Amino acid sequence: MRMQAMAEQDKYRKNEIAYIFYGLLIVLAILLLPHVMRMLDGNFTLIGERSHINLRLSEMLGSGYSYRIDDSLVHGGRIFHANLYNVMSAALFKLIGVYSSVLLPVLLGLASAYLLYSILKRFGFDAVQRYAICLVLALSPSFLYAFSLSNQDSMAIALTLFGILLFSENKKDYTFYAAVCFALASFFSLFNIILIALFMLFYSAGKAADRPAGNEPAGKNNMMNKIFFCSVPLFVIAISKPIVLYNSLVSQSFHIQPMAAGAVSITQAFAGILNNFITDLGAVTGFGIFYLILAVTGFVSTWNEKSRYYPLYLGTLFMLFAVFYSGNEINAYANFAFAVFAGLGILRIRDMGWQSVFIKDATLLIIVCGLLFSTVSYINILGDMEPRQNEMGAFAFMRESQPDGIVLSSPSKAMMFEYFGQKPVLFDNLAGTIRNYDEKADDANALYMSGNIEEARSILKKYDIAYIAIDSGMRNGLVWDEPDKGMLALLKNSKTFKKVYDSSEIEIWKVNY
Amino acid sequence: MKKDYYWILAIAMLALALRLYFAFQTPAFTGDEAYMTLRQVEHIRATGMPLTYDELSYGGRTHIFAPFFYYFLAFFNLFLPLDLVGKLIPNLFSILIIPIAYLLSWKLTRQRDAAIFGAAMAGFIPAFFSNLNSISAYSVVFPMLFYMIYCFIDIDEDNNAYIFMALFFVSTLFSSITFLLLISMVGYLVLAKLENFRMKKNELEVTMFSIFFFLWLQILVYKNAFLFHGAAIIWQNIPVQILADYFAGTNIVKVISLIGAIPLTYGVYSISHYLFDEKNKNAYILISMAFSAALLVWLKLITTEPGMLCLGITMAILFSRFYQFVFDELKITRLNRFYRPIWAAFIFIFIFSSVVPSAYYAGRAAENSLSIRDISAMQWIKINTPPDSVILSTPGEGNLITALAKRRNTADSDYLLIPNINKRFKDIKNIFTAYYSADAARLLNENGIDYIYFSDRARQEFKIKGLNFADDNTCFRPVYDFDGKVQIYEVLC
Repeated sequence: MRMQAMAEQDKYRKNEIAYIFYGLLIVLAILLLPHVMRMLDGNFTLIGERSHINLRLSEMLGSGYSYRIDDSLVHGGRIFHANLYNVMSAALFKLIGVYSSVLLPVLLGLASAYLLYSILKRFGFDAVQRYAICLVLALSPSFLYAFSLSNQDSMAIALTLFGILLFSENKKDYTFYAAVCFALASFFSLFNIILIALFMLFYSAGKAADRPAGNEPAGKNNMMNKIFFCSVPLFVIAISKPIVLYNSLVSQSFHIQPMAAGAVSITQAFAGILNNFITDLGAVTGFGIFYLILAVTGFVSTWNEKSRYYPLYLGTLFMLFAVFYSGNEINAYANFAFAVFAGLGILRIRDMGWQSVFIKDATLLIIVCGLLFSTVSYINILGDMEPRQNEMGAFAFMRESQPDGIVLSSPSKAMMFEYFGQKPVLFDNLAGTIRNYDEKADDANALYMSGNIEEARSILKKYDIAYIAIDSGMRNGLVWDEPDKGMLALLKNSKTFKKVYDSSEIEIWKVNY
Repeated sequence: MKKDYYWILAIAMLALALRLYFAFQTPAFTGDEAYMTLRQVEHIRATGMPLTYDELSYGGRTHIFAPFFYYFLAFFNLFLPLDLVGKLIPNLFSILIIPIAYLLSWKLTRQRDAAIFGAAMAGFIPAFFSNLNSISAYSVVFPMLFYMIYCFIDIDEDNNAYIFMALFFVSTLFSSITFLLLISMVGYLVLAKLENFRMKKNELEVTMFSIFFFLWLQILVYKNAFLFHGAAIIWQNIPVQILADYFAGTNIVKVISLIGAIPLTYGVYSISHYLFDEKNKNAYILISMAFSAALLVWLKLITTEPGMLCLGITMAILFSRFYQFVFDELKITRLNRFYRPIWAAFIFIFIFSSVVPSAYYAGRAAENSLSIRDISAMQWIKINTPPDSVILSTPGEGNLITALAKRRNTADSDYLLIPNINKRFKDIKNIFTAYYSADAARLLNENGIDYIYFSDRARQEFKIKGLNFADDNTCFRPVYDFDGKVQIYEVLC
């Protein structure tokens, strides 16, 4: 009898290992797909701005910079503080060059998916629930964004998940390792520190709620010790290091697009929020519509066991608030909570006692198709992100044939001028790192809209701007909606500006003082 | 029951006769979208595929749409001429609302007089007559929507769940207005839950299927538009200058004229009766439908036309309950001896408040159709201008330029996926209202325009009597004039 049980257990373990292996293969394929699509399209650059700033930091670290990196490729300079992601990326960069920026996030993605699986197992989710949650997670756009692009959040997420797994184990040694993980994760931003602290708070509260009445003291001290032990490094880092709230790059702020007079403001506001949250509506870091519906279904279905899910509810709520406060790249973190709900949601729909098997199958098929369609669509978006192949000429032109001088460009192109063009820019998208960012942005706006050459010259002189790069997006509504508006008229008619480069995507004007 | 069928058939024939009478008053169609529909059908007949890349619209653009309606018309075009298909088929299908309204009214009242009266009311909703000459997909979709409601009410019977799913599949491919039904179904489930009615499993299942299917199909068909416009796709990228008019707010007078005073007044009575007195689960889906339509129109998320259509038909069906109530009450009072005069009064009020306004709207639809002046001008453009010419017109006439004159337009009423639409609309307006020929010439050159089509519509839309710069013969040569109402100018500089 015992032998039979052991054999069954052994078989179950083997099956589980096989499922995990195949699951990780699927995750790997999904994470590599955006790169493959991009390469098939003839674009061999890394995806997105963030990848390039991280690559630049890795290169600088590899070439002898220390923990504190002085960046001179932005007007007024700035200081970066290297974190574990940069260090590992720099180490990998020495081995495999630019591919480190693909490999590291993908490996961290695989690790994060596996860690979530293990955490779910630790918290008593059954095998089907674990597979469903992890599969839904792998198909989510936010997961793709976090682990396909070279992204510091990938390391912070993996460390936090590892810390959570270790923290939830009832072994003393593990608490030490959990503290190390949390400490390393907390170097990334204040948001990470708060997230970890809240996890410990909610976890201990959940544990306390689970404990039967009158059975308190033994576990209580143990838990308090664990929390204290893990909190000290967080506290030390929070007060000793000049830490940013959250280093958001894609600042899709929640502004509402101007609409017609008479249109209803509440619907506009709602539309604005949807645009920032739903990748099917163009959000860069968000969730698919099907994914969100499943998450809501999962949330509702767990309500009957709310005492079990309170920590997750509160954590999700915190992250949602954080999204509104710090930008929607935090969705990469919230995604893990959403995945739990979405996975449970799809299982809830499957198991809701359908009267008609046909309708059940049809509905599930549509859900799966919807999830896949969102993912495929998002993979295409990622594959098409900047820099595009037809822009590379402009950057190469600046690097190879132009003397140094400040470049004014749209923020999304600025990092490309920094990395590929090797030219300093007035400002880029890392607003939090740039001195007098608001003033610079206001001045740039005034310059773009100015039809007065004297006013334009005074702004140009203020920052010693040597080049102005105008891309097609700026001409098509990002800055101007008419061909001869503001500075565009000055460019044509004034001797102050000389066009030195022209392509369908980018034109570069040199400023003659 | 057999006698009822004759009544229903008679009412349907009467409605059809009235519709066709007005539709055939003119050889042309009303609204430029009708001509876009004809162009799509022609393209399907010629190539088997709808026209997705249109090199004439906006000088070259991609259309995205649910294509079933065009295929549906193309099927009839296999054995009927296209003009006849455009006039006959939408009107033929729109009268299907009458037997469907009868079935729904019967479900509510179980009384034949009331059901027949409800059906008649639904058949003569003025809003439904205003689009009789526009080749509107709504004429096919709305009967389907209400038949789906009929199936939904008895979802457990026979194959109603499958019929519902099949119709939902087809109607969603016809038009996204099935969104209205989805909201109604969700509203119905909420109402039924609040009133502690036991919900059928099938109701929940088909609702779930419908929500996911609708979302999936919309994402599939409109993917690029969603990515391009985001959630603002609800407003279809309509220029801000005309958005407020397009999703025009409505007022009670307009609602009464489009729905009819009687169905509206007593529909509202029936809603309050079902919500507060008699708990009837069957009525909840209709009440929910009425609320959804009103709410979406009020929030300016849908245009007035489908909103009023939906509200009107729903109110007409709910009216049958009021009819039943009045005559049931009458029977137990002394007023029963006035049964016939009261019934006649009902008929009179019905004719006065529904049939007459319907005829009025039908007449207006025929009147607003494309005039002989416009058709002649289009023919002139087709024959006398180079094939790659770009013609300036109001956006509302853009599809006429592409469909009848076969030339490139500057803008038409399909705004989806057009970048900088506000600027384009502003340019068009600025050209028509320009005081100086230099301003007009600059904008005309910027937009590559070769001819200006100037009609009464432009006069009304931009509130001008004529083109101020037309006297400048060095830049603008008048090449066509029809009674001083339609002029075409060639741009020379």
